[in-house]
Amino acid sequence: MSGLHLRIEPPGAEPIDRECEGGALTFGRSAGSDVIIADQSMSRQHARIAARDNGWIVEDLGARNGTFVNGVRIDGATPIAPGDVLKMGASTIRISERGVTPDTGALGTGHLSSSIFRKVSDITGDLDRDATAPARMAARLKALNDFHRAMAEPISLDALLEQLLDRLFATLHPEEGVILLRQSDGTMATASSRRLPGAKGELLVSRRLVSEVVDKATAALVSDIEFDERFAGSHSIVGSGIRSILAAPIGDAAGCAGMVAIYSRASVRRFSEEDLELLVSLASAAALRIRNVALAEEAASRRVQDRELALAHDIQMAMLPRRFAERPEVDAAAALIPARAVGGDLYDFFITGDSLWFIVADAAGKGVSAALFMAITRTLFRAVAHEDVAVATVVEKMNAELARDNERQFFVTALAGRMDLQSGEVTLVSAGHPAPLHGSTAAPRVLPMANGVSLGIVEDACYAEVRLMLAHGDVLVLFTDGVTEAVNSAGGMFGDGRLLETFRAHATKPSGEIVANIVAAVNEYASSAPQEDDITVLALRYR
Amino acid sequence: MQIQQSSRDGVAIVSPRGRIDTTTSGAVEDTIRHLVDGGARNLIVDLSGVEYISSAGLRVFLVLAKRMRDLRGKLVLSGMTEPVRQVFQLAGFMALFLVEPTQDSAFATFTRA
Repeated sequence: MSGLHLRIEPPGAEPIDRECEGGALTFGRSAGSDVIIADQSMSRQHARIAARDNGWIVEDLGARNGTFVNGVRIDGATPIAPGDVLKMGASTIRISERGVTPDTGALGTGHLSSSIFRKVSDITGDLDRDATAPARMAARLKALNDFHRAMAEPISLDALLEQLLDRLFATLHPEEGVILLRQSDGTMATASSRRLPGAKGELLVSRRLVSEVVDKATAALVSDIEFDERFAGSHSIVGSGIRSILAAPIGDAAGCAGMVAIYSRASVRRFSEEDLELLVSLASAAALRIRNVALAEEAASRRVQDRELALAHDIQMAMLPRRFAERPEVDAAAALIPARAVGGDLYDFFITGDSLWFIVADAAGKGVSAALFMAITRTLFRAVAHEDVAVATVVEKMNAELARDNERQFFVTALAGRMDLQSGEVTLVSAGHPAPLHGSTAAPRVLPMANGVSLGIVEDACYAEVRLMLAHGDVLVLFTDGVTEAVNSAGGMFGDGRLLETFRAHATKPSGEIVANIVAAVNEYASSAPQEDDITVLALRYR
Repeated sequence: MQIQQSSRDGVAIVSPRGRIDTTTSGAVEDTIRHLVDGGARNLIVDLSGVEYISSAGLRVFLVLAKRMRDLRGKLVLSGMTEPVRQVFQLAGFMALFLVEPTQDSAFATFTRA
C-alpha cells in the first residue's frame, strides 16, 4: 500500500502538507487531534484517516457539519485514494500520492507513526534518499553546507553553538532549541539555548529525553508527544505544551559529548524524519569541532591557570628569605621544594637586635588552600615575634589567631624558635611538628622536644618551651615531614633513620652543604617516584 | 580505599581500609558526613584497617570531631595502628579524641553511659 500526501487548506490560512505511511491520523479543532485545524466550523474531533489492508479510508467521528468526499457526505468508513478531495467544515483536504507535493511552499511533513528512534549510524549518509522535494532539499543542503563552511573557520565554542542554532532555526523553524554538553564532572548541562519570542514557561530539558538520546546514542523524532508512550510518564514533557521534538546526540567515535534538541509547540508544525536527518547531520558536523574547540579552550584555560600558579609560586618563593649570612654568629641555609606549583611548607628567619627568630611550618593539605594558610602563618610570625616576647607567647598568639573561626579546621604544624646570638641559647616551641636534629661535638641526635597541638585547632592551647645551649660550631636542622615521608616507587619511606644518617655524615660541613646533602639523599631515595609532599630543610649553625 | 559501614545498637560504625590521604580523604569525609546528616550521633570510626594517614586525613577527623561536639554527639576512634597513632600523636591531636584500642571497647563506652 502506498502512502498518501495530504494538502490541508484551512480557511484563510496557509496550506499544511502532511504525509502518511500507515496508521491513523485524526483531524479536528481540539488539541487532542493529530492535525489541529483552526476552523470554527469543524468539530473538536472531526474525522479520521486510517490505513486498511487494501487502502486508505476516511471516517466521520460524529462531526456536526459532516465530512465530504468529492462533495458527497459520508456515512461510515469510506475508501479514499489519490485525487480525492475531502471537505471538513470550511477546510479542504486534497489527497495525492506520497512524495508528490502539489507545489512548492510546503511547511513540512509528518508521519502517522508518532515517533521514531533510530541509531544515528542508520540515518547519516542517507540524506539524498528523497529526491522528490528539490526545493526543500536544496534549502537543507545549503544549511549543511553553510554550517560546514562555518566549522572550517576558527570559531569559539559559544559561536559554534550559536551557528548550530542559527541553521536549525532557519531551516526547521522550531520554537525552541537547546544544546546540552557534557561537563568535566560527567553531567549534562545546558550550553546554549534559544526560543522564539513569545515562548512561555521553563525551557524544557527532559531527563527522559537526555537518557534516550545521550545514553543510547540515538536520534529521536517525537512527532506527537501525546501519542508517544515513551514520554507518557514524563510530566515535564507532557505538561510543557510541546507537541513535537527532534533530538540528536552530539557525538563521534570518542563518545557522546552532548545533545541538541529542538521543540515545536505548534499543532500544525510537526517534525518529520527528513528533519531528523538534517538535525543528525548538523549535530555530527558539530561534534568533532565541539570536541576540538573544547580541548583547545581547556588547554587555553589551563595555560592561564598555569601562568597564575607560576606567578603564585614566584610570590610564595619571594616570601622566603634568601640572604642567609646577615651576622657572623650564624650560618643559615634552607631549601623548600614544593610538590606542586605552590605548597603549604614555610621557613622563615630574621634578626632583631641580638635575636635570630626562625620557624619551619607545614600547612595541612596541598595546593592553593595550603599556600594561603602558609602565607597567613608567615605574616603572623613576622607580626608577633619581637625581641621582648617569649617564644611560647609568639606561638600561642599565632595559634589563637589561626584558630579563630576556623570552621574548615585547617591546621599548620610549626617549629618556632629564637637564638640568642650573644650566648648561643636557643628556645624552641613545637606545635605538632617533627623534632629538629642537633649536631654538636657529641653524636648528632634528634633533639627531645615537648610537643604541643598543631596551630589553628585549639584556640586557647598553651605551649611549652625547650631550652638548649649551643656551643660554637653546633648546628640545628629543622625540616618538614615531606623529608621523612618521601616515598620511593616501592612504597618505602625515607624515614627518620636515613635522615639522621645523612645528617651525621655531613654534620660538620657548612649549613648550605648539610641542606644540599639532605635534599640530594631524599631525591636519590625517591628516584623516579613523584614527590607527594613539600620538602623543607633549614640548617642553622652557631659560630 | 574501602569504607565499610555497619551499626550496632544505635551506634554507627565506619571502617575505612587503606591510606587516608589527599586523594582518599574526600571519600571518607563524604561517607561520614552522610551518616551524620542522616542523624547518626553515636559514631565509631574503626581505624584498624588504616595503615597511613596524611594531614589532609587528620583534617577530616578534626572537622568531624568539631561537628559532633556542636551536635552533642559522640565520636570514638578505635583500633589505631601504630603509624596512624604516631601521626595523631605528633600533630598533638590525641587529646582531642576519645580513643579506644578495639571496636568492642569503643562500643562499651556507649553502653556504659
